[in-house]
Amino acid sequence: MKRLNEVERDALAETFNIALGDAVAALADIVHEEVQMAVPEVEFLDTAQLVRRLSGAGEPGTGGAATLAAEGHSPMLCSIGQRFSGSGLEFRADAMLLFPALGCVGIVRRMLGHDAAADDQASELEQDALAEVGNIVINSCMTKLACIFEAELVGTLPRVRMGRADELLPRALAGSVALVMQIGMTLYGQRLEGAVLLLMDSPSLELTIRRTQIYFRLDAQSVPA
Amino acid sequence: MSIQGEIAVLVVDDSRVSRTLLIGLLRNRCQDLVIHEAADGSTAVTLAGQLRPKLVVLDVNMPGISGLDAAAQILQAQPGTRVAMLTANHQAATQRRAAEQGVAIFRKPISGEVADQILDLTGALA
Repeated sequence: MKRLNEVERDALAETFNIALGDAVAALADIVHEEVQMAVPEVEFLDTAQLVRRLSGAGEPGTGGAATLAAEGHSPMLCSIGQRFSGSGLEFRADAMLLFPALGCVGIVRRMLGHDAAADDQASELEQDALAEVGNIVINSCMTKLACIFEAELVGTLPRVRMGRADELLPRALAGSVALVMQIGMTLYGQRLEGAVLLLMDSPSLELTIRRTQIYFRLDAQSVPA
Repeated sequence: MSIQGEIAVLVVDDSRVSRTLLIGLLRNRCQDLVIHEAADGSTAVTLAGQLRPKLVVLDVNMPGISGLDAAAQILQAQPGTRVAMLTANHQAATQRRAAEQGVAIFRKPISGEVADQILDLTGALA
């Protein structure tokens, strides 16, 4: 797999930081409340590292997505996922929005005006609401990526699943690399740690790097005018 | 069939929550609306043929045919219908396709301001 140099990594991180800003603004519109967001962290992990981190098995103090499973309430995660492919491009990726199950079900119940019962099983309507939240947040990110690609990225319908990290990550992309954007936010007075994942195989990652180089003119190593 | 003075509207989205939000905002703004719902594009095309709504609001990504394909079929059968797309997918390609069909496109999540703009397509707020 091609390794990213520092400039490429920074360019990709900045791209997704901007995209995530749009996504969080969309989230604030959905919940009708200001979403206080910590500075997102963007990092690249292979899928094995990602499962360890999401399962809370990372080294203490490493931060990152490990905090999703370290909330102390439930090891279950809620995933809203969509698969994207490029129209006329060799690109495919699984985009996932991940939250601790209890936290995100609680927020959806607040949104819908339901009783915040202390369980993490979402009703059909609550799953519908979760799917729509994921659809809006994920599409905000993918719209930015499509802009960089100057192409259309076609997505499947959002799918909501609850489970442990190793159950949720798509087996079809085993061996792929994950671009992880961790988001920490305060919503309805509750602290919620979440993450947006973009899982790509090697050709898709290399295409993303190439397109990022072109978009940011990194190949020219230009000095800003 | 629409009764005189009433405005028939068809709201099409596979998300029940999104349909409910949009319908609530539309009802708050105009008492003369008769609102029908569909959860996919094929049902929307069938209902549009039967109900002849003045306004159809469609999501883009839905099971079966897309909202844009449904919009094309509805407009071919009833060219006078006002059509709006309401979608999270606001990529340039989607916007271009909507423009080619002459339909308005709005970005999710729905807000009161967007609901006003959608109703403006019918002249209901005039």
